[in-house]
Amino acid sequence: MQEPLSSIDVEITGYLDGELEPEARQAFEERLAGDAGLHARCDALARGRPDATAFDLLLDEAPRQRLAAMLAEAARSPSRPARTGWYRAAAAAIVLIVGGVAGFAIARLALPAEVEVVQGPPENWRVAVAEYMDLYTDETLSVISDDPAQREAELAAVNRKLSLALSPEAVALPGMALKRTELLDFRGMPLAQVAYLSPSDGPVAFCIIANGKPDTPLTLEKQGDWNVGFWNAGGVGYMVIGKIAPATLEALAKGLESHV
Amino acid sequence: MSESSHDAVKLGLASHLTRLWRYGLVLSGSRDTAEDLVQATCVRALERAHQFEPGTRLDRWLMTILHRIWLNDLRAARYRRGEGLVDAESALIFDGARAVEANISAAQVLRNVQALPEAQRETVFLVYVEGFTYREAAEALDVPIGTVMSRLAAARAKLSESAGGDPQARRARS
Repeated sequence: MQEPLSSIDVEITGYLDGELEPEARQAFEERLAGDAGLHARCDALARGRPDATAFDLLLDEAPRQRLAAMLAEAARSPSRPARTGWYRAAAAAIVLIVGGVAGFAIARLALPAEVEVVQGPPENWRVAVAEYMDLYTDETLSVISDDPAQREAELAAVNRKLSLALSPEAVALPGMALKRTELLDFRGMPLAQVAYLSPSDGPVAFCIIANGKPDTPLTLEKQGDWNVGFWNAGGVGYMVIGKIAPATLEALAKGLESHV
Repeated sequence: MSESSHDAVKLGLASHLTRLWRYGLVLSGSRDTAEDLVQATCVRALERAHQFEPGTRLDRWLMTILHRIWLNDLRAARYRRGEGLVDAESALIFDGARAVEANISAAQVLRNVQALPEAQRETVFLVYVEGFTYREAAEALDVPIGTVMSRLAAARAKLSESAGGDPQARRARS
C-alpha cells in the first residue's frame, strides 16, 4: 500500500535530516515561519523518525561468540602467520569451540592469555554451554560405550580439578544413561560437563563451574531451544540443560541439588 | 594484497560484527540468515581487503558488502526456495529479540520499522540508526540520492502515523 508521496514531504525530510544545501535550507526556514500547515507537517514528520536506541537492544541479541568464531575461521590462512594479539585471541575462541566438538579436554590446552579479551564472549557460562549443546545429536553420545571404570576415572578428574566429591550415584539421573564426563574451561574457570542420553529427549547435561559466585536458588530459563535449571552453592555454579519440559527439568535439578 | 589492508579489515570486522549482524537481521528478519550474512561478509571483505581505501569508513564499506550479498545471493535464494520474506510484522520482534519484548516502547519502534517495505526499512536503518549521510546510504544501497530521500520521506510519513500523528497534520499534507 503505497501512498502518494508529496514533494513537500521529501523537502521537509531533507530539512529535518540536515541534508538541504544552505540556500535551500534558508529558503525553507523562511517558508516555515509563515506557513502553519507546513509547520504542522514538519512536526508530524519529525515524529516519524524512529528512536534509534530501540535498535541498540538488538545488538545485545547478537550471537557474539559464534560471530567471532566465524571471523576467525574466515581469517585463518596457513600462509598467513598469526601476528596480532587479536588474531591469537580469535584463534583461541575457535579452539574453545572446535576443541569441544572434537571432545578434547580443553583445560589441557595452553590457551593464550588473550582469550580473556576475545571480542564479545558470552557473559554467561550457560550461554556458552547451550551453544556447545547445539552441536550435540543423539549419535554424539550413543556411540560412547558403557565403561564404568572410564566413567569413574572421568569423574575423579573433575573432582580433583573442581575440589568436589561427586560419585556416579550422586550425578545419576533417572531413566537416562550417563555417557561421559568432560573437563572443559570457560574463560579460565574449570567447567565440568556430565552428559546423559535420554531415550525420549536426547542429549542432557549437568554442568558445574567453579565460578566463585554467591549462592542463588534454583532458577529456570530458556537458552535457545534448551531448557535450563541453574543454581549456585558454595562458590560453585550448577546447571542442568536439556530439551525437556520445565517441570521435569526442575525435578531433575532438585534431585541433583540434594545429592551434590 | 597488502598485509596492512588485510589486517586493518580483519581488525575492523572484529569490532563491527554485532552491528553487521543487526543489519542482517533488519534486512532478513531471521537470526540464522543474519549469521549467514555476517559470515559471507567476513569472507568477501577479507578477499577484497585490497579494495578498501584507507581513510574511508570501514563500517560503511562492510555494510555495503553485506547488502550486496543479501540482494544478490541470500535474498534471491530464499525466494527460489519459496520461503519469501519473513512476515514483516513479526520478524524482528519474535525471531530477533527476546530481550526487546520486555521493553514495550522499543518493541513498538522495531515493529513499526519492520512493517515498512524493505526498501524503506533498509534506508531508515542506515540513516537513522547507523547515522549514514544520504550520500553514504545511496552508495551503500546503490541507488540515487533522490531515491534515498523519497524512501525516507515515505517512511517518516508512515511512522509518524503509527506514532500517533495528529489529524490536523494529516490534513495539512493533502
